[in-house]
Amino acid sequence: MTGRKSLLSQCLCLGLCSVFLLSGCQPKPPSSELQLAESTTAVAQPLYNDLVVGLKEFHSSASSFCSAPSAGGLAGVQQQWHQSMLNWQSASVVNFGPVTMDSMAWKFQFWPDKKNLIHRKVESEIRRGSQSEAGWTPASIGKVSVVSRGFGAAEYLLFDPEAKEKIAEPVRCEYLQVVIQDMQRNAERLSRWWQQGEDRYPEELKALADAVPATEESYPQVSALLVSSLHTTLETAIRKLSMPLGKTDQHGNPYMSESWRSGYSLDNLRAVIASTRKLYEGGEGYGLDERLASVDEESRQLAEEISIAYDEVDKILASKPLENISLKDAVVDPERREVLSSLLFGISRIKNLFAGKVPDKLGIPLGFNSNDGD
Amino acid sequence: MSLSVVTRRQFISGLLISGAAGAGGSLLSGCGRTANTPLLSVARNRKGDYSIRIFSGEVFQQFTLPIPARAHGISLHPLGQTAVCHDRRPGRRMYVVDLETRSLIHTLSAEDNRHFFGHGVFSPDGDWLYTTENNYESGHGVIGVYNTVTWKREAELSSHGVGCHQLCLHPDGKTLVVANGGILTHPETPRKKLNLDTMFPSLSYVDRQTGELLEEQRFGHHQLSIRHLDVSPDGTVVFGAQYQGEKTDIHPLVGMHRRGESVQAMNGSDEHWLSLGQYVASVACFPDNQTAVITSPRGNIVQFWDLASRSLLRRFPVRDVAGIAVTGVNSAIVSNGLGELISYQRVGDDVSETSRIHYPDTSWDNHMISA
Repeated sequence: MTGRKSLLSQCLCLGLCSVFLLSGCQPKPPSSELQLAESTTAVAQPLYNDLVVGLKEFHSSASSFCSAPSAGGLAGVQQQWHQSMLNWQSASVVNFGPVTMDSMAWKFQFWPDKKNLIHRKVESEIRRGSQSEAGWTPASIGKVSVVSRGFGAAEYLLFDPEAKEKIAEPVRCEYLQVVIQDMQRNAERLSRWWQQGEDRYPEELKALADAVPATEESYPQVSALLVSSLHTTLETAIRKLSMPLGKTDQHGNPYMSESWRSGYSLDNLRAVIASTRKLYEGGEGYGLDERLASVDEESRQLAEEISIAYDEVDKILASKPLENISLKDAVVDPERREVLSSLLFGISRIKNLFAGKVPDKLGIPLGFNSNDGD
Repeated sequence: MSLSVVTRRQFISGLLISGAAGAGGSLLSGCGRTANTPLLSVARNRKGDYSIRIFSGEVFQQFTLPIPARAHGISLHPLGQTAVCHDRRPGRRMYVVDLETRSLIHTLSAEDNRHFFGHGVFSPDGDWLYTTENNYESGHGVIGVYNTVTWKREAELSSHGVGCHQLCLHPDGKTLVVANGGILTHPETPRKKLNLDTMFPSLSYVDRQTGELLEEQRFGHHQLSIRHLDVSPDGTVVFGAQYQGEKTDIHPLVGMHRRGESVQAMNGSDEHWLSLGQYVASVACFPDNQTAVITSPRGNIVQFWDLASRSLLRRFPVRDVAGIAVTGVNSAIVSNGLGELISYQRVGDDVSETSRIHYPDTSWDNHMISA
């Protein structure tokens, strides 16, 4: 728990106690699950809101560039792609609730693209659309394969020299704008679902907190959502690192990096790790860290262990060898490979805690069928 | 054996709903599938103990039969009084359960050099039980034939493939429909897949009396392991595959077949297939001949498919979802590793969730049936 969070918790506690003392009644304090539901909403709402705002700016910047193309304009659009991608990386950590309803995550990002499908499918879609009178519309793009939509397609259009060379500027521009509009529309849908209101997801989350009677045999459903979400995200983060590093190949597989065309893979990873920590700590509110620490002394030590593990990962991510370099270039540099291996070890350590000790301590059944089915 | 009461409030509410006079009175008392049809599944509790559970999807009651290890599929005798629970691979036990007395009446062991693959099916008269097994000396899939009076293994048929997993009885009563997953395994390295580059899955139609291969079908890519299936009353076979290649390779994972026709993939979009995480855990067909349900615990998703148009009707996110029990002409319950049981009903071209209950300290395993 951060110092600021401790202070806030104390203030909140003092405030509530005063109210109770003054009123003379003793209202039941909110359950830890309910507090988790509320802090999770407080973390998720701005993440999805940032996604909407970023995509709006991305679209506006693309429209300006397309009406008067210039090198400076292109750099601006590329920068907006980068910012929006970081917003998506942060929001994607909340991989439960609205984002699962329509397999939405795939509509934002197709990854990993081991067979360079994005290149092939975007080009094929551009050929198809160029020959059709209707071209592309935000409605028609919804029917196109997820491979030729989302951040991957936009990155190809904006950063790949072959796309710049092969696709005429007006066509590239038209398709890019529709791809951004599609993401913008989906982000708005997600953001709306995360707003407060009847039948919106925060209410569902609160209902989940109350759904199971707090008996010894029950399991905490909001905690389960969070642990499962953190575990899945960290597993993906590990793949984002281990695939380009390669298992035994000392030269690595640079083109397995997540955003190899733009060179922003490490920034993506920084955003994901920071966002998992924020979700784990409940932002400025009551987090899983406090929930865990309240179980028993061993769990309190476990919460400390996670905090230390995060600090170590943050330190590596901010270290000099990983400054101003893309993952694609870092994996072919012997010295940096060592740093990346330490980073991989650090993230794996956190992931393993969320896969084993944390669910054990909180009494959460995790991945019974998904991890070991038949 | 014990009756586990979930909570006092839930238990009482269960009794009220069922109208049962005494504990357990509502289970196994009816004929045919009703809203309160008893269900069977294997489950694990938090301590890591496994059991066969006989339980309700509507009211909170269950009977627990402890077993020593994780098991897999359950086969129901046509008369509904006996069920057999099969070890999962490379297990070597089968448990015969008397559903009237709710007790384990036999534990059978696999033959030498054989282990079970996790599924079985009874003959229409219930005299014979057919089980999928591995001849791990030769690597071939075999079907064990058990006499259900003596519970002796009396014969063995070829599955006509490697790694046979689930099998069902065709409505003609004579033909076994077998999902040969194509994956070679050996009990010395139990969960290791030994032939991913050369695997060759198939859907086989086998005469249950002669063992003759009547028809064989393939489904797309050689790494699409056909694992689970169900058969509609009209003979339509719906199957689910588990793809052994890359996470983002795009292949249909659900297909259907009718005897004498070619296999057809469902009309899913790239995103429908990607969202399954390359893994289908269970398949069930509704008695209406129009609907199939599949679950994917890796994709945390349940999909409902319309068989006439082969199109997706609805999908629902459910974490760690696996088992499916058909409970009516157009309804089913799905189970998950978090102890939930969720009921769905198809009306017209829509499917909706109708109820949801939770069994604490329970992880429901891969398969579930209604008795």
